[in-house]
Amino acid sequence: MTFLNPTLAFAALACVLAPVIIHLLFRRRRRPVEWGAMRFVLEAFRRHRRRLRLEQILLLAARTLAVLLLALAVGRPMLSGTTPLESRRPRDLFILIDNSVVSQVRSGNGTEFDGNKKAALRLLDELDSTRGDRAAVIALGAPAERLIAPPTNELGAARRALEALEPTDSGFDLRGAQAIVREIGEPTESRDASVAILSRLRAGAVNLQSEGTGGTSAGKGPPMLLTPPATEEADNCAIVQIEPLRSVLLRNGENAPTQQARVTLKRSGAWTSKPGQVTLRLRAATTHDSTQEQSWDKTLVRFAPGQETLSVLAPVAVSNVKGEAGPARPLWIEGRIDEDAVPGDNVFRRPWKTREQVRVVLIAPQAAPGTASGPESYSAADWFSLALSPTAAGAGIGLETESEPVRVLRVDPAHFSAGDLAAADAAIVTRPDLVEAGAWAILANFTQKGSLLVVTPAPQAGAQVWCDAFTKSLGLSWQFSRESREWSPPAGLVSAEIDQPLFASLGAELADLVKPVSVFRSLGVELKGEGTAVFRIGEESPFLVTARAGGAGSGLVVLFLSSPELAWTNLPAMPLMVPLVQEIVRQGVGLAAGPSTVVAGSSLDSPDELRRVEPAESGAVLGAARNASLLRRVDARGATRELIAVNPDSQASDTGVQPKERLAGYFKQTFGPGELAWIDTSDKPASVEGQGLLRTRNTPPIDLPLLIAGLVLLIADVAMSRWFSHAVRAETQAVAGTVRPESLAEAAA
Amino acid sequence: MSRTEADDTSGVGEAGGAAAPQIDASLYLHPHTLARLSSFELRAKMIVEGLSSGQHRSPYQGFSVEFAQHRPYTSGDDLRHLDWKVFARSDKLHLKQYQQETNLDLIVMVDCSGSMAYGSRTFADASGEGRTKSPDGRTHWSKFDHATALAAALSYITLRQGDRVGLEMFDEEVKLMLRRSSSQGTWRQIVSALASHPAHRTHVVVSPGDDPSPRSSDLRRAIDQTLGQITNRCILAIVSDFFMDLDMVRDALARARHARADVMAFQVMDRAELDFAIPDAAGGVLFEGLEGESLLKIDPRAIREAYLEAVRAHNTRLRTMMLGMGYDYALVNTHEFLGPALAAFVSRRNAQIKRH
Repeated sequence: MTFLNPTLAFAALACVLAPVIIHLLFRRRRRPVEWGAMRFVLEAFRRHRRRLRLEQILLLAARTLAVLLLALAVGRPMLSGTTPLESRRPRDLFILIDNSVVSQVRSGNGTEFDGNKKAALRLLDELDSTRGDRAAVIALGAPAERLIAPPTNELGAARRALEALEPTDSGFDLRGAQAIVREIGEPTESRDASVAILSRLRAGAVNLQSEGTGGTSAGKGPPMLLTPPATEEADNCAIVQIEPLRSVLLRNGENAPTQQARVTLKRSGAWTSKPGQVTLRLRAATTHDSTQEQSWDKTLVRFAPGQETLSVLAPVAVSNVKGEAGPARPLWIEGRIDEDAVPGDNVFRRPWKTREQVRVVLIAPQAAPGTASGPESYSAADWFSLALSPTAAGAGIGLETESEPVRVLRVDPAHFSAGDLAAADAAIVTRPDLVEAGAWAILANFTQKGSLLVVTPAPQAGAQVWCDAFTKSLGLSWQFSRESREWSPPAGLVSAEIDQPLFASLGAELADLVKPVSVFRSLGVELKGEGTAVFRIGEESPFLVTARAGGAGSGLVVLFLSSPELAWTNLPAMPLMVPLVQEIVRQGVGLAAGPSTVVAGSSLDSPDELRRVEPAESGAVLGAARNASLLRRVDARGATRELIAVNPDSQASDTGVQPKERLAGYFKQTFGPGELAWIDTSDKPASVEGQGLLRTRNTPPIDLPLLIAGLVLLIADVAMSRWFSHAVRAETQAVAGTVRPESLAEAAA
Repeated sequence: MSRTEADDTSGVGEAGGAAAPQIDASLYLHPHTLARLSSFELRAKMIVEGLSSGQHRSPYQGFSVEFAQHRPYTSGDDLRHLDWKVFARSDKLHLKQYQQETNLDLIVMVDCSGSMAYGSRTFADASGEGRTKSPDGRTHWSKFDHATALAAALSYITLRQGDRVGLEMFDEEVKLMLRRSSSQGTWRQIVSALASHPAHRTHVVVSPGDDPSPRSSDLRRAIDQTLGQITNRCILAIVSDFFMDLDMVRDALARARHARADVMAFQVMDRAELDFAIPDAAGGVLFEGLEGESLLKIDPRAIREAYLEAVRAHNTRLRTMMLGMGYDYALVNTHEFLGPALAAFVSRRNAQIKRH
């Protein structure tokens, strides 16, 4: 057992000796009183000796125990493993305040975030730093942020941090906050720790349907204070994604003045059960474009009853962009919807890549002069060249022009270096068998930097021994069959992934283009869950596979399982060939570079400096971006390398309401079973339902139950001493006479 | 006729005699008491008459009764003693008083044990006016002082009617004895002897292995010693607090009864001993006995009831014992003046005698 006030406790415990000391002092100083009728005194004493001794023992015990209880009341003992006899220990309060995107839900004149902040400030008012109370403030907007941590008794600093806190567009990072609490909130016997979670706990914050019962926590959790969950539905719609069908705009190409973008919307709240409509506005913009009304393309999006998520193709006018977009003036798409419950998720931005032309390196041996006698003798590289530059003079074999949207450079597979790929956007390997094992690392590096790599099987029959080096370098787990398979009769192609963004612009035409294609020979591969088979041969073997390089976010690998040569397939001679290769290169380059959008709250790992473009230009942005913004990556020379859009976490803006009891169960499982109380968030003076966990301010400086027990014992002692001494009956009739002798009074005094 | 043995002092202890200091009567007999004694002089005389009534049932029918004098009638006097002849001659009411000869003596036995030294009344309050201290310097009026006053009053009454009075002081044994006498100086000798030998607390010297038992009065031994000194019948007036074993008292009284002596018992107790109203004292009161008892610290309130019950039982038993043997008994409170108590006692005794 320890004491909250050990000095006072030990001083007071010493007072236990007081009754004994007083007894000894009185004994030494007492003067005897001469008494004549001593025989009767002795007789009375003998008759009641046992009772008197028992009374004396009881009185001594009561007095000693009373002093002991008073001493303990002053010292405030704390029993190990239990809560204090009263909530008198200093308290550490971890305030976890929700400033995620869903906290922006409008409530009354303000937002629910304002309510959270107000509740947090009230909780701070309940603490008393003079008693050793401390507070930590952790913002729950992802990633969880330590505003005041570890706990401090500078409650003013915590108050200022809360007042300066702003809502974010990121998600609800309860796990991160929990980790912080565990890290900084080491349990001690001398302090109480409580966790207050100030959030309306809408589905965007804690989604009980997707999160299930929450994590499991070992041991007893700290006492928890929760603001009651929201009970009012709030109608909200969020832009989940904007995906332009043309991922890269080529200025040398003939771009349509109005492009298409696939926009995904998600709605939440009570209106999901009813039909609803949202006005979507899109625009393409550069840093110098205004946001005037005429520059927006409006689309009315209609939701069917019960429909929560909807994808629509919406036009976006590229012609409204002032001036030429380019590296110095990067382009982006911005989408907006009507104001609703959560304003933060009504805006979505996406950088839109622009190129003068796509530069493709064709890694294939140069055709021997005079060998090109006809299409039958064309190699796969020749077919690729033709498909990439169909309008080039001389059938495009080995032709290199700067006016074409796609510029093709051919390098020898046996003698290429990283320098050959430096300026390229894509590389096509048609003779992988000629690529040396070490050169695959160059290609892998090239791909992982955000480029496109297209690989076809070696046209020669026999074992495809390059496969191992290829998969190993790119970190793929594909398993090749090594030997090509001959399809007899020739097998037709099946489009497996119509919605593949690589061929999004081909749309419904793709099915018709695929039909005449036949495959005579192909290489077998087992994908093992990595990559996507865009086309299949029949229903079995993949024909075209796409995959992210090494599972990374950027870089795209496109693998043909049948070499585009007439000996393998009739694809080169079919109408599909040109749009297929063109889309692979044009879209692939854009897809390989990655979307350049991140969800608010994600980490921004960039080798270069990031500067904010929208909503207002600012200096460097470090760490995680919690609010929606448009950033530009600036290299050491100050040139803009790319744009990065930070968009609201649309998954976290779900405004659905959830039952209180299930939420309580969720938090008990997440933080461990412990006391849980709901904070009264009304405008009354701060109060807590149930256990009254935060009554530190009103707690007296001594332990009230012990004090009361001590006082009760003292009163009992007085009553006992009067009863035992028969003082009440002292005025009863004597043998004779009732007047007290004055001389005895003097003697006794 | 009464015999005079004023100078005939003998005893175990120190004799008072001529060497006794001259004591002012008002020191022990308060003027109020003296006044009352004067007023019931006749009755006091009748006490002695009563004492002899064992053989002479009526003093007026015997030959030995002869007229002595007249006394004015006072309220309460028996009308049978009115002298109607005088009333017819003078139209005044007078009583006839008779002089008779008696052979009965009064021996006053005063207890001088340690417990008799206790007293809670101030000397100034109890004694005559202007007296604040006793001859030995005490400021409190002890039970022994009150016993002295009582003995003086009894002697005064007895001597006034010409009978002989003797004195004995005793504790564990007879300490002092004055021979019976009816001379004029006897009363002063008795008072001087009592004043010169006040009771003192008993200090018990405890030697190793000795039991420090209390030293209280031994009435049986004192009675034995007294009866051994006299041959005729007499009245024994025992003045004591009777803080002693009552079985021993019973034995002593039985011996007196066997010697055909009459006994009057005056139990002298202080008011504090009767009501045990000890003031509150934190931590209790340390009591010290006057007869060698061990010290005892106790909260007096805690044992008050038991104490009172013990005192009440003791006194009741003593009174029952006395009355059962046909003796007179009176409880005398030192805080009350002797006059009323003595008058009441004499009246009661007279009434008893008349009934016989």
